Amino acid sequence: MDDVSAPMTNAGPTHVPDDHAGHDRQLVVAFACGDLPAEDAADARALIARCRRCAALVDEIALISAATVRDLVAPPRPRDFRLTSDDADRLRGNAITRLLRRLGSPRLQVLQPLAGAAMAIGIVLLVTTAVLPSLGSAGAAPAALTTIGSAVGDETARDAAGGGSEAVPGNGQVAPAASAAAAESPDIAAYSETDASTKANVTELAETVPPVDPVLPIGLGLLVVGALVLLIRVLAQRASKDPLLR
Amino acid sequence: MTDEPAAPPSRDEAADSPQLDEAAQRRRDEAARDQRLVERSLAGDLDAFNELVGHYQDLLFGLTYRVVRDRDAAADAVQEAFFSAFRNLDRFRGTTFRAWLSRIAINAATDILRLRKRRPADPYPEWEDDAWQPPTGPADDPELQATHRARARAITQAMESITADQRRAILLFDVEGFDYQEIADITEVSLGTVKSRIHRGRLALRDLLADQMELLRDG
Repeated sequence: MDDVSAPMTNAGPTHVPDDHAGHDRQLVVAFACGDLPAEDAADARALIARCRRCAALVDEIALISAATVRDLVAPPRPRDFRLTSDDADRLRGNAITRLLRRLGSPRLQVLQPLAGAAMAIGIVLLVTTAVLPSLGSAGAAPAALTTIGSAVGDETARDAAGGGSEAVPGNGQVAPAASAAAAESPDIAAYSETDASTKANVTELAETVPPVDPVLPIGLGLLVVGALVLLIRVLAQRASKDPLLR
Repeated sequence: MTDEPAAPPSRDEAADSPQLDEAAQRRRDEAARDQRLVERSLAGDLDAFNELVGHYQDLLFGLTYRVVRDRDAAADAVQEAFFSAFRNLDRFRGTTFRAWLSRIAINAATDILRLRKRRPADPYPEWEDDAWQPPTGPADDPELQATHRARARAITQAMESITADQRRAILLFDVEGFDYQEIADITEVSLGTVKSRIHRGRLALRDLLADQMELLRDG
């Protein structure tokens, strides 16, 4: 690319050993082309009025310009470039090509910022509903685990001492046989009380875990849809890119 | 000072002249016609597209020929340009169809030139294509014909010696009649760069043709 800010003076191959060599020839050419603003045109006029060679340069530029139009003729075209219906069918391509071209069309360019915005919103929703709460509850989790662990530890110790238990901790109910035994033995009664306490702790902990926020799938959906739209657009644009439209 | 030279009017500045008004009106009519034809083409009307081809094939061939200086290569570039325009017609917007099409054709011609440079085995064709000479009428004086050929040769050789960017800008402005803004759109550079290229190119041409000014005056 030309350097527009380059100095205007341009000493060409024709060296003229008088004042003309120091004159601003680019200024004269711009004047000859009628491209100078009023104040520069006045400078150019003054220069041309006092320098014959600059005046000759204006004439010669006009002469070359006219000769370029007149003499730079092109030969007649060798053939007709109208498209046949076969050409048209080939250029339109198959259904997939047409679909890709349509999806990559600049008319759908608005989809890209929309998809980007959807992705951003999706990420924000995911972070606020899933990531941040889990980070916040990360400090509470060890305490809850310690509670459960101590309860389970007590139970294990008692199992070892009492030679086993008939209790079924998983279903939250004490077996009828154990209830009957508890009425007869104080050790078994004490065990049943502790077991009930453990169950209460687990239930309480379960209640503190929040249910799945309905915003979470919305955020996930926005993220996935936005990413898909962007991906399809990029692929379609690449597939339908024409190097001559650069 | 009373004999100060008057600044030559630029094509853009002299919009008040009736001839330029007429030319501008013609351009507007052409742009409206092209827009209608483009819409019909987009609706699947091949005849409408071929009507556009009919309007612009001479212009494009002349333009690409002056860039590549080879008739077959120019024809290939024009064909590629029309194919590309047909495929991407839905992407045309903004400037005039004429400028959009010219840009595609120049890109096609530039690609052909690049390909030649990458393949040294494929010799760069002579800038002057001797295979074709301008048609002459039976009444044409042989001496005038010889002068015309000598002048054409001198200008084409000088054009070959300036930079490709300068040559393209001068061709688009002087020969094809685009205005500065259209050339800026076609070549994707600023208005100032277009003017700079044209000014520097003309100055370079003048230096190259300094010894042949009398030949150029014989017109």
